[in-house]
Amino acid sequence: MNIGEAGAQLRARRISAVELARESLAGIHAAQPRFNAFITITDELALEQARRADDELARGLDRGPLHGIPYALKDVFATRGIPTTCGSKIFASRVTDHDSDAYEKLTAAGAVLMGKTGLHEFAYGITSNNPHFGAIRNPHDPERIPGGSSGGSGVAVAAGLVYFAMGTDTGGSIRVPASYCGCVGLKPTYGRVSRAGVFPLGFTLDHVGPLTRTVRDAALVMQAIAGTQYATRPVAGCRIGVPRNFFAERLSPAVEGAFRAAMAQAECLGAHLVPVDVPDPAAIGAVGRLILLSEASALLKRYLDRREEFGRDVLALLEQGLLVSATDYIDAQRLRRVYQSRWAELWNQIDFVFTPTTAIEAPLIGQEKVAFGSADEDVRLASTRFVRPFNVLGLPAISIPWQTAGLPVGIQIAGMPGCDEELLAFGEGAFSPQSD
Amino acid sequence: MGDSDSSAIVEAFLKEFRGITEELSEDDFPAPVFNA
Repeated sequence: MNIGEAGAQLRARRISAVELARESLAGIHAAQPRFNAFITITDELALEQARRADDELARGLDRGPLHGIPYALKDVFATRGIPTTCGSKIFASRVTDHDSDAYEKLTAAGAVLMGKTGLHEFAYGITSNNPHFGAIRNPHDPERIPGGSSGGSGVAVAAGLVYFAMGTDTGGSIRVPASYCGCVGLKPTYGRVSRAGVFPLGFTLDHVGPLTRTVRDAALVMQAIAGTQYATRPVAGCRIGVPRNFFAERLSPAVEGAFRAAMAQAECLGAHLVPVDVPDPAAIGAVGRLILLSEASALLKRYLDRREEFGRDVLALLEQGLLVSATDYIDAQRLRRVYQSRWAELWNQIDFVFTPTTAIEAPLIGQEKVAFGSADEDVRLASTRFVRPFNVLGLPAISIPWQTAGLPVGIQIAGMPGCDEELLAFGEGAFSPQSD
Repeated sequence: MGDSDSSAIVEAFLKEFRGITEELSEDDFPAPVFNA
């Protein structure tokens, strides 16, 4: 059942918000030993919000599509009176005195919070193998990672525990778990969704967005948190850029097969596939890594006198960031502008660009390398090299699951700045049979 | 990971990165993040 279907059941009085919440909470508690998707489960608050949602509907107050719908927040979204740990030992007992904008908007839309989901420590990594709260596990194979950093949100949605979950994406942290878990993940245009009250990682790279069961559900959540309008768009006639360079290199056989099948489906629906050479993707990735190293270390260096309280991988990245000079950081921001202007020209030729979301399917927990022919690649790079460029460019990008016989594979579609509604409309039109 | 490991990793990465910066000119100034 998706958000629209659950909402129809609620309004027809065939189910109540309290029943939906109880069903969701029961699933979360039952799945917790297997998947470890949550850090905090807010049973009492969920039932309180659900009762309010039922009372309002009974009085004729309907707050819209999310009214009475169970959801979860990544544990970086401030929630007054509820811990916001950021998946860290440093903030294990941190409770804010304010709510994040996203939580305020979702509460105003009548959505019902089930809890706070687990993540890679400080959202600084893609495995969600958290040394303080335990490894989060992929619902399709518990020996594999769910991706990250919004791993718990990906699991909560893909395992059917909630109808949607909020995540953050600094270098792929919404789209990678969406790809590895098999759900939809949207990184909106930079700045489109308020980050107020969301613990940062990379100040100029951070994005807030939803993970959902369907593309339409993502559009419904965006209406509530960003005021976007629901749109439709015919797939026929759309010009789809298919990169000849970079995004077609070093793919697993399953990813390559899924990507070809997705392109064929779009073409069958009337889209025009346009081979393109996209500008500077590898360099953009390097610029993104340098900016993130600098910004994350600037943010977290005040805690580095508590080294033993960090996980090894995050501590190593923070140490590396301290070694980047101010001039290198400024040059990275200068290059970013150069690359943005080059990509702006691309949108004269095409409406959207298609890529695989990740080069591989979900790796095993603890796996560090993946082989492409005779060469090995770091799992973190293989997971992020196709997603990070869109954080640097600030472009909206969505990962949509493609059914395979094995593990899930994500198809990424990106568009020009501010085209979030059109991107969602195209994604729904092209892939709704896959994502619904 | 010790300090020396971090230094070696960053040095290798910065060498790659600085190769990219050679295409910058005086006219390329930092964006105030985005002009989206």
